Amino acid sequence: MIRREFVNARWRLGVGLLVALVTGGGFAPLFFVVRSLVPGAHGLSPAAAAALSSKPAYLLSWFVKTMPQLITVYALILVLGSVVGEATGGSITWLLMLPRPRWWIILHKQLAASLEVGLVALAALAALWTGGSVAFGRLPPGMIGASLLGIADALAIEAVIGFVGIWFLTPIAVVVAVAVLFAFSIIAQIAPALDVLHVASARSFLAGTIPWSDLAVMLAAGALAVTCSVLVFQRKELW
Amino acid sequence: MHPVECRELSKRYRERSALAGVTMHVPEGSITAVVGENGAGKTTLLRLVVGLMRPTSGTVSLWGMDPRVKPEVRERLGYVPERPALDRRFTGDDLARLSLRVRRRFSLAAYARAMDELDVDGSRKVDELSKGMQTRLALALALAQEPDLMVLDEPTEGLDPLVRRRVLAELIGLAAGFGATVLFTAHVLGEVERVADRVIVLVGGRCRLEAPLHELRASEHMVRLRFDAAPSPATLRALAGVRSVHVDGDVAHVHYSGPPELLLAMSGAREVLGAEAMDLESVYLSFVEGRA
Repeated sequence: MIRREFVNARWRLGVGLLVALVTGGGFAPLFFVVRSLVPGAHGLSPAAAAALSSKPAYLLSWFVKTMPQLITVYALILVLGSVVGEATGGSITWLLMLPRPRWWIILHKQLAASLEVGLVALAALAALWTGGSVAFGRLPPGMIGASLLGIADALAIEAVIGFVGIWFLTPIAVVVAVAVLFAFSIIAQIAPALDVLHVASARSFLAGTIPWSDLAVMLAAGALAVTCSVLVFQRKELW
Repeated sequence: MHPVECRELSKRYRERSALAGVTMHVPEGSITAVVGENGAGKTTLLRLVVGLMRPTSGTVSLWGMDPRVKPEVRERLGYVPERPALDRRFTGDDLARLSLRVRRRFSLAAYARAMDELDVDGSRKVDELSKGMQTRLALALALAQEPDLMVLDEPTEGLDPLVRRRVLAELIGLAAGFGATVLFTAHVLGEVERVADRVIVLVGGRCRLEAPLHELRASEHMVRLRFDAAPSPATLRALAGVRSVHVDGDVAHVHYSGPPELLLAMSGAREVLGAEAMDLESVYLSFVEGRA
């Protein structure tokens, strides 16, 4: 089952990995530019140079916040092909006629999608790690925490978009998924101010800590979305 | 235990009733055709039988098991929907290899034999095949599962007449050679008479007739009765075995299931002007036009 999904996705995955590597690796030259400004050769005051020297961590934080958007676009394309495309094209009937329960089918589909998105996220992070190491000679603090959170983000986003795709099984799912993620994004912005949820910030990356609570929230959201997908698909009528 | 058994099966799509209390069975080794006009509920019935849909009420069982509760029963089932359920990005051979991984009974030798019989090129992507070719590929993949029950929704739809005959011959060969039971829907009644040995007539989501074809040919008659005065159609319709009535002056054309002499005695007609054994098409038209 998972192999089928990957054979089906080979072009999408290839392009996704390429974009991830270029995007992640693309930060290395950016690091170099920042670093070249730091020595004060361009007439910067010592205070400005010191402020700028902490930029790598901010860049890292910015990348970790940008990655979900890249992953969102990828997950939308994935769900459009893997779930909506199969339902509208009719090939989902082939899956449903397998001598397996529906939960098994959708769980494997979600697992394959998570692996695919995880691979793309890993590629982006690997490129970022390599770029960062080359630029700084060492990895910025918080890199491990940021990377873990990036992957957890990617998996949660995929699971939520997958759930919306399974709920609707039509292209309208893409619009709804974007709206849902937009709503989550607003909640994530508001929640820390209300002291409800502490989403990872540049501060935690600078401190070099692993944001365990954020990781747990993301993974729990992903697991909840997958559970809901299974429950919805169990009762789904397909024409 | 029959391969297929439905009891009081109903399905509603929001306000519209697609099937209403269908009770039928498909005996082991039979080739059963479901006929009916567009929207009669044929596809819905088949989708309920294979477990793709949930009935609003009633039960479906395959060898005594509900396919939605016991999906493993689908191992014994080959299903070809009206629109072939094939992933368009794969070749036929890819699909065969995938099927081999997920279906215990799938046989590559049977696949090769079926592809050869149906004259399909397995190296081409589904996307590159015509609709007729896609249907043939879907049939080959279903046959390669060596199923005990084949469920085919309009299997000859989109095929040219020559291929249509070959597909039907394939069905007969399958049934005879492997002892498989076949349940299929069709529009072309001539084909049904040539291939099937049982027929189920659906009219407006209701099962109006379920009988072996030889019994149907022996029992269904169009009887012309002459009365002393114009008879009441409603009175005639109320008689046992009467399926439809058309009155023209003092003559009634009655679609009757049974011996014409019995109808003469029951109806109080003066005489039987004629009685013709009906073929499937006449029986079907009588149901549809008469809404018996």
